[in-house]
Amino acid sequence: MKIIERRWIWYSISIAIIVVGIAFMLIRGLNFGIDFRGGTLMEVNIGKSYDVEDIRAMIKAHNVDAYVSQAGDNNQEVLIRIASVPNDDEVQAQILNDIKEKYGIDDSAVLSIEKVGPTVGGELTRNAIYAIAIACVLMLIYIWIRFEIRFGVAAIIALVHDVLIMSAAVAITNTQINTPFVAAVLTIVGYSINDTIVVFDRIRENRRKLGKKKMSPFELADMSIEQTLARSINTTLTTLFTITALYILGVPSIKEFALPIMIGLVSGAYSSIFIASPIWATWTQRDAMEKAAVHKR
Amino acid sequence: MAGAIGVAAVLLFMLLYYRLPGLVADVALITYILLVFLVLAGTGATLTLPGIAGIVLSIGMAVDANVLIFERLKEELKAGKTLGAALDAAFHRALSAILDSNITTLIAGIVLYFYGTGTIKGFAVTLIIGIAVSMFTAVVVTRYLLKLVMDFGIKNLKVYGVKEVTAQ
Repeated sequence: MKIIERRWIWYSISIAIIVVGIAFMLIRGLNFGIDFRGGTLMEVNIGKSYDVEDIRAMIKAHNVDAYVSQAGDNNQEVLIRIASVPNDDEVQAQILNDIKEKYGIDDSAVLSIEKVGPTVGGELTRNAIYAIAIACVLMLIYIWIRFEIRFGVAAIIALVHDVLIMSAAVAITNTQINTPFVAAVLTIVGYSINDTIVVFDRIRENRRKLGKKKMSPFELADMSIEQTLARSINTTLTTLFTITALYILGVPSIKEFALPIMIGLVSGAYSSIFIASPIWATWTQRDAMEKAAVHKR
Repeated sequence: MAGAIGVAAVLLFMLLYYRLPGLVADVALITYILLVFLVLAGTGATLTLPGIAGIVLSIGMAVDANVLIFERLKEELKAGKTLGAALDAAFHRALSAILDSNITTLIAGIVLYFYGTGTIKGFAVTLIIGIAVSMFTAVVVTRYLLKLVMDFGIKNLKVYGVKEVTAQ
């Protein structure tokens, strides 16, 4: 396998996806949901068992983004979160009317209506970004100690790559962004670094076993990728199983969380092989050549 | 429910792909899931969506540790080692990968726990618990069970997923 040699093919694929994603972000913008835009939270006591899909369909007719979930003892209450729209009050009154009519209930059944601000999502995201930044620095230091700095930097670049690919994917598919997306990003940050380390561990071991002189960094990386390929595919597949099941069978809020994770899992496996390893190999090669040049002089 | 079907798919895949070790991994994985829920129940944590994400991720890592060991086991067996020696070598060699990959993720989990708010903290808690338990089940439970199976005298290499031996 000559993976490192063809690195520009792999880099180009990633860059193309990210550029298309950024284009979508600039032209259409990201589809922020209630957590980031604010909106209305309503709680209604239906008073009997009902099908939550009926209410979802009713709300959909008004062309607003909403989360609908069952609540209360015996699931007789409904919790509706509607993302903010220009004519908030009007839409909200219409939806309430629809529900009251359908289930034959009156105003006393409306348990609460409250406006929620967009701050929830904003603050959470800010904290998450700080936390990820600190985590990256600490992980870099750990990899530096256990491996060497080149491995650490390559792993962090792969991580940034995965977050960019996930963002591109939600921009292209117009998936709604709420706090679950932040959780999805965190999940992939954890997964991606894990995946990269396994390949790097093999490179480290092969280098120790074979000695630095016998193999170029390119050959070393190619060989290590080949040896860990079955593991990379199997681990990604099994994790994809669980998350795909959540995607297919889950409620809408789980779907918008599962989709970025599915993309991120594939991207995480891809970046370990096609991004992190070539970066390490070319960097190591260059350093070795510079050293050789110094020796000659 | 959806999660259960996903886990069932993972169990089936491991069994079909890795045969006997796959079965062992399945037992270890079920032990793992039970332990995680036990710890979560013990700490009184409520499961939010990010919390579920943490569990899904750690299930992936628990499987990963097993996959790492089994791929090594196959390599060692193909190289003509005896079962016992191959098992020891496989665990010894896979350990550095398991440790380093889990510790880096653990670092991320701990930072998220201290700096995150609300649901992010929840994610961090399940992730940390998940990683700790998965290292234990992969390194201790899987190893013990595999040794047990080998001691029972199951020596046919085919059940370990090895097709041919290229003795050196």
